[in-house]
Amino acid sequence: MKDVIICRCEEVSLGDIEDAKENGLKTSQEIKMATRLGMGMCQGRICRSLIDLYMSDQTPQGLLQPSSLTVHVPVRPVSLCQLAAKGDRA
Amino acid sequence: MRIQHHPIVTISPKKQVTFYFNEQIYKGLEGDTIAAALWANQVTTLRHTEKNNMGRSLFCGIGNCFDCRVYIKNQGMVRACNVPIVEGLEVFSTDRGID
Repeated sequence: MKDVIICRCEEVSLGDIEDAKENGLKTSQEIKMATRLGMGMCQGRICRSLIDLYMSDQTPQGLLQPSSLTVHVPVRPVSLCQLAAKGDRA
Repeated sequence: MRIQHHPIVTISPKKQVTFYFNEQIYKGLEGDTIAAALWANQVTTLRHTEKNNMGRSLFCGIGNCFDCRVYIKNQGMVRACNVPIVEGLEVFSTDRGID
């Protein structure tokens, strides 16, 4: 189980997260800072809900919704040339 | 590895498109995404990860997870699952920066 990948971009396994949690980290944000989980190419689109669920036993409120982790805009990455082309067509 | 017969969808003949993946030539069909065309050619590993050198391929298949990202010459990194192939497209596993 330990080598199950949670964050596919930064290659963080369940074992890495378990270790961090055992070291006393309490929130998703702290796990993120310690392991780089959710900081890769996809910006936590896959692992954010997993880590929130995994850490939900550490807070009295349980599973936080929306996630306490920062969700950065844009929702989808758009290249500047795509934006420029869109402006021309409109 | 393609669906030839389907009870509902009509499989219509499509034009062949030639493209390159890591400097090897492959043939796909018009309208295929890069990932689908490579999958049909039995190429399922699109890249290897930076830290542990593990293989990566299609994971979500809908443009969400970025696991299938590949480099297209003169265009940069794209998701192989939602970019269609065009004739002569040069695709690479690793980021080659801006030419």
